[in-house]
Amino acid sequence: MVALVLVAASARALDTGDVNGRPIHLDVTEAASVLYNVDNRNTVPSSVVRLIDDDWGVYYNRLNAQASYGRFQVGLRLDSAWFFASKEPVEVGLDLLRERHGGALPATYSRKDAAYFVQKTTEASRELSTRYTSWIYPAKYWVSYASPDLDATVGDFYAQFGRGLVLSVRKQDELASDTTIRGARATARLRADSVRFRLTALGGVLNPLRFDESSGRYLGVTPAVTSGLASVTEAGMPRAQASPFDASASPTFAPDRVVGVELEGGTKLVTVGVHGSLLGRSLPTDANGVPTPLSPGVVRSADSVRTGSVSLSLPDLGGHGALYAEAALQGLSYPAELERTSSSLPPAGHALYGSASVFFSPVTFTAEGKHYRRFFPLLANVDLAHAPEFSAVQYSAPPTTEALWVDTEFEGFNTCVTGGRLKGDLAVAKRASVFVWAGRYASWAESVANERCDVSGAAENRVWDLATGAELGSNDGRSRATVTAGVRLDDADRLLVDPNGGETHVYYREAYVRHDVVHPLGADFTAKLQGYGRRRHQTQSGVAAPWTEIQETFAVDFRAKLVVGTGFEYIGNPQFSPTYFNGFVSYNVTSSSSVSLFAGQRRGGLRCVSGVCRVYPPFEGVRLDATIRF
Amino acid sequence: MTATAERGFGALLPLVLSLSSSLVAGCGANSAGVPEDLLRAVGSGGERPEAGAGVQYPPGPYGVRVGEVTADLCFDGWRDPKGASYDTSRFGRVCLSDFHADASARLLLVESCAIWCAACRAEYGGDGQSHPSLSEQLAARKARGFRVLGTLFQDGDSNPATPENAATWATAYSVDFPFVADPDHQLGLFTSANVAPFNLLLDTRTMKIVLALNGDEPSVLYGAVDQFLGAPPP
Repeated sequence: MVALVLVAASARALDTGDVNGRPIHLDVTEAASVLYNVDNRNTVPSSVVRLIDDDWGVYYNRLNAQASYGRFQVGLRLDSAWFFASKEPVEVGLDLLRERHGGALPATYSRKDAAYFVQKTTEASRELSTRYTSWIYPAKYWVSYASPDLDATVGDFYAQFGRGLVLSVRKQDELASDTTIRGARATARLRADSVRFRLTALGGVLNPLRFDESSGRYLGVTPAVTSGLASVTEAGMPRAQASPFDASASPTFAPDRVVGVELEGGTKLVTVGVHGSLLGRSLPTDANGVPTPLSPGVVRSADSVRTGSVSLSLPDLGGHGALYAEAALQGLSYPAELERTSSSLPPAGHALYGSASVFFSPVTFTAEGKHYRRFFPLLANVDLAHAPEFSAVQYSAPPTTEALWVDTEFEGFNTCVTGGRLKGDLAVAKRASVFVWAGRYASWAESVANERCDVSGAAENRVWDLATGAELGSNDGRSRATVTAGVRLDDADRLLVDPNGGETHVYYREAYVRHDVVHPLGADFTAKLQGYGRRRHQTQSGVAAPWTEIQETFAVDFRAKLVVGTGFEYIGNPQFSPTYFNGFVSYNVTSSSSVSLFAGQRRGGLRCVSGVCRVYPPFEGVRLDATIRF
Repeated sequence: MTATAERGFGALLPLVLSLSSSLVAGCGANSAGVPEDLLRAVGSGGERPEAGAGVQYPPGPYGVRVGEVTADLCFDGWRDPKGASYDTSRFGRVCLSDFHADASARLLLVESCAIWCAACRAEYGGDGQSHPSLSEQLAARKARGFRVLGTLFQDGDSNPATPENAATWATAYSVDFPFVADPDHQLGLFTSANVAPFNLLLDTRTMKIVLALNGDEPSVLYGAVDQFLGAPPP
């Protein structure tokens, strides 16, 4: 692979010739990863899922090809995964039986041993039917046309309406998420004097990435969930596999359908928008013909979700700021059987979101606020029992108003909440500023399930989120540092059971410091230090005492060509192994071709970006990545 | 529908052997790498030893999906935790067949929780006002044949739950329905150990699965319960 990168070092996007005097550009990018995960030290007795994530390896390939001709573009991303190592079900059964007897198999076997062995072998077999399966499939493909007045796409495309309350389908590299709509979209632009209008209409079937490289899990469909348009859009996509213990395969994913319209119009000073989306589920039916979601729940059980909003944007307040406001309504419809009998399903919900920034040198104030009542993210129809790594796949992203990294809005926090955050920045020198923020929230769906968003009871949690910090930079721009220190205080209105057996109002506490420093060491070398330290106490997580988390990454960059670094992580939470060490080297062959090697350990846990969170398993092993652009 | 045998796990022997075909043979093992004594123990599985005496538990094949009949799982715990004062020395065997044998029972909720799971705490505790606890949900429907079996499968560090963990949990939430430890995580046949709580609704007359639900989603869970039981009496 390294040799391939070096050979391709001089490669560029290709002009393959002219047609009618216009050139055809061909752009091919090949991204390949080979990773092998050894024992990641998360194994606990009797747990199949924590044993089965050891000793597996995959070659994961993403081939992107795009060709453009005038205003037309055609593209294809072909993903393939080849698993060259993974555990066998019987091996897992025997390992767990061995562990049950202190590390060695017993001299004689009881009936309980036999039952345990069969149970764990069955569990492992079912688990393996949704993981470590080699696939090649067309992850994305499209044909598009772009002109000043009209854009049109058939195939896969991203979409976001407003601030994401109504629809947000996009790529999030930090979460290894890349969701598109596979269908058709058209955007028309009209200009009359100083007034501009933009109308977008779209429809199709939602298409998240089907393969999760951190766990080896894949999303599989069956004919039961791919009728109608989905039978076309799901052609060639991964199919669910039955374990040897099951007579037929069950889907772990059911592709939802969506249609949406957005109309925005206005001048340079003010823009008004109307946004709407209708999500339709593909619920398989049980033996009696009753629609059955893959994972029943207040959002996933709904057979349709209607969301609409209006927005107002003032992008320029006389050169001293900007203002945005959006108000949304949401209605969920359920299968008739459920709607008839359940008196506690949520009625229509609503959301109000606003942001404003005001700038008078040297001070900038930024305020964000939200008021959500029974306003749910459009969760994908995923089988949580058998593909929990995809639980965060969603097709909307109601703003959190919090810092991007916040991973402490627990449970249904953002579905029934009022609050906001005010941030002030003071420029104290040309390249130096200090900032402070205060966030205050009340949520009624964090410490208790509260889908109807009843705010009259004792379900309330009150949160203070406070932080201060500084951003410093050298005059030549080569040196910079950002430091943030903050606290989060989350108290329940009622007394909660404490892990130590007592009672407490404390739901969550945190104090933290985050830093990101870049400093030149000489003419060709630059040092980078990035990390955080957190002191956390989560009383409902089963951990009796507060714990500390530290993550530090140090790297040296040589002429933006070669990066060599090392990382350290520590966690005092007894649910995890405490220490993690790693090293990495990366070489940029050209501006668009690179190769990198990671070796060592990386802690698992929750990772969040803008309120969308997913759990990562720990990684221990070696990973080689190469990206080549032809 | 699963291939699990009607007459116990012994009939799984050929399947287990077929799965093990890629393993390298070891000393004292067959060609599949599984010790011969263990295969014999599996092969002689026969009837599940704990199917309640005199109880005609529905025959298999047993499965893990909605509409399928679930196997007769048995656990160590209390049938009446409060009556036993949460004393682990008064642990006994609690089986799904106990609920099948209860003529007044119609629908059983098997709830699987872990000490590390905050949503499980919310499910057991409620908020004392408008969001009922599990015990309160049971009390509101017990006369209509609703039953609950609570199972605890892991402690705060994700290790298998001990009887002491079960006592701590049951005491903290004043559990007043059958409650057991599930250190082997037998409910792992239905769902991942990484996801909790897990709620399984069983028709106690047929032992067929009515609903399998991950997470604390009371509106959907009790919507299904009330759909099955019918409207409460006025």
